[in-house]
Amino acid sequence: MNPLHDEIKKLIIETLNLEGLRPEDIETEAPLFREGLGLDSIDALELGLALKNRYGVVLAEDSQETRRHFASVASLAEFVSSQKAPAAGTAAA
Amino acid sequence: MSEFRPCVIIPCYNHAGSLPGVLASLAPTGLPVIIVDDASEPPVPAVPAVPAAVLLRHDVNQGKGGAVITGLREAARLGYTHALQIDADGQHDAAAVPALLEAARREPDALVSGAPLYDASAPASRRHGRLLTNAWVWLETLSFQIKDSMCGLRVYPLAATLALLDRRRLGRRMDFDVEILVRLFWDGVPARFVPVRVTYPAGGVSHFHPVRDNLRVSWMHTRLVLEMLPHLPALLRRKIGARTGARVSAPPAAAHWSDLSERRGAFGMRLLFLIYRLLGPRGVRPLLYPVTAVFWLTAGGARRCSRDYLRRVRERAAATGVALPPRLNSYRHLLRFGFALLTKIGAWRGDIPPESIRVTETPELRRQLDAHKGGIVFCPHFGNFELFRAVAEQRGVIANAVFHTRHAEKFNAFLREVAPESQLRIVPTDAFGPATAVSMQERLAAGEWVSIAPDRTAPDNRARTVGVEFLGATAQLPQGPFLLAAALQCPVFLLVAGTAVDTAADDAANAGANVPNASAGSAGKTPHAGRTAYFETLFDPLKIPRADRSAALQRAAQHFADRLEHHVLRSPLDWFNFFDFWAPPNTTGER
Repeated sequence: MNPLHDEIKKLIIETLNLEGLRPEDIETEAPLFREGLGLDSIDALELGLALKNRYGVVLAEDSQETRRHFASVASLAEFVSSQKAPAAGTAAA
Repeated sequence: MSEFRPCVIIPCYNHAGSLPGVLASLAPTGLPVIIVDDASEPPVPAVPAVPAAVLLRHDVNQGKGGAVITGLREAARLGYTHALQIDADGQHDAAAVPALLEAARREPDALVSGAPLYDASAPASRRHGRLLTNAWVWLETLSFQIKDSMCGLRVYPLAATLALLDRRRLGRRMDFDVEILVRLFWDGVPARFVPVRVTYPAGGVSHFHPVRDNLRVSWMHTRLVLEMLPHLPALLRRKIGARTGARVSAPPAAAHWSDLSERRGAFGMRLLFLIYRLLGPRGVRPLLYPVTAVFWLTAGGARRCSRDYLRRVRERAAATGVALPPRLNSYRHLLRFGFALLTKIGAWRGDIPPESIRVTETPELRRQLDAHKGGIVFCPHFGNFELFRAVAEQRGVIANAVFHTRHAEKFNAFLREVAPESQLRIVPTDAFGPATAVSMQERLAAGEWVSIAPDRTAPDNRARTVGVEFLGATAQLPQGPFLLAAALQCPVFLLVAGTAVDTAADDAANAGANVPNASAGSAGKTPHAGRTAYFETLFDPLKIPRADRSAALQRAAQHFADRLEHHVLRSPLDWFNFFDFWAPPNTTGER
């Protein structure tokens, strides 16, 4: 179990006020938006702000890239750790 | 017309030094040459090197136009069908001659002219002068077809040209090149252009007399503009004919605001800015009336959109019992837009002192300012939201504007050119996504204002819109600004600035919550027309709860649309969305 996965699931629940949902209810690989967890575009904005405030990640203006990062908990965790890694030269690719 | 027999005409006045070079450069074309010596001193000697050359001589100087006319008549008499005119001073690149002739061969009824590509040797004054001349010619022909009217390298179709010369006397001096082009266009001769290089040879002899020839040219333009009026119906028919002919493949007019040709708009802005710099704001104002008239006649899409909009305004005003200001028509609507452009330029250049703007604010705005907290300011394309920056400066706040990336770069470049001092910061955005939210949050946290236009849908993400009732019909607004405001949880204000009718005046009376707060210095004095900035609190903050997303979003957008409609009905001509605002949503767009 990746502790970052759990952390991000908690962040999603807190930020988006997903009442009644527990971290283990969110599947790591399942889509976050529309089908799957069923998040929408306001959620994406709020989640973006929360990720920035918690981890200091830099989001690209490119909406395709952002969409890829925001696909699932797993892809978000990968994105966060790629930005956290000090020598992220190759990890980011 | 099956036969194409071209020749060359060289008008020559004291160009003995450069003429042999011009002849040598023409030799590879093998074209017969007619040289017209316009009473040079000493006379042009016979040219044995060019066997087919005809040398004609005027005993009395008649001017360049006179020399060309003599050459044209001689060419027709000798049985040529087309005559290529080239200057004797060597400024034209003879390498372009085959391309011009080929264009004339393809379209024998057309006049084919060079369109100069300037190199570094061309003085700036020359380029600016040409721009002004072209503006005159566009007015005279009501067309942008004539790309250049002063280039003396061109191919005349002799039949149509001789018919014109037999009918009327043309200016014989420096006014000739322009006048014959405009008059041939009026006669239905199409103008075609081939790019040519033009250089200004260091030792070149120019016979342009600054005062005499400028007066002559001004008089010619005045005559041509007056004479244009009887040609008006024919010119318009031609435009309409050209348009219906092209309609098969062309998209419908003004389908989406970002589809509108930006090039012409940018060119118009540059021209206006140039004149603004030369003459000052007062000097430009009288020019706006004729320029708007031309725009009104030629920009059918904008005119139709304006009429459609004004019809909706009238119907809505009648239905809601609002008294409209008098004289609402599409010409005055476009004219108001022209004046707004001047204010824009003035605002960007900092020519509008912040203290001259009367600002009306709300308690919520005051609260944010006192706490050094920022706010989102919705700036629709109504009135002059360019005053936003000056207003922010007056309140000691930094102003940001969220722009679509595609437009942000061009706008930034333009802003740097016209107003290098401008304090407005541009936040480029692609899709109102998380990255935009983050950069807006940083600016809001620093106590800055962020403006956003909620009345234009995104160019490449058109499906994400929300339908609202506006002026009696459904219009689509972008979801982005509302979603961002909801995610950022900060107050949202509506800014109505620079309208001709002070829409705030009656509002302050009937909306009890709004406390008018005239800025110090202008209190008690009537502010300049168009120098008011009126804030109202739209959302404090905007809440779009999860349980009720789409309905809450629609309510928020409708609230904005209602407030906008309220102001629009009080000053309808300040509405600057010249595209089909009520177009149905684009369902083929990306979701």
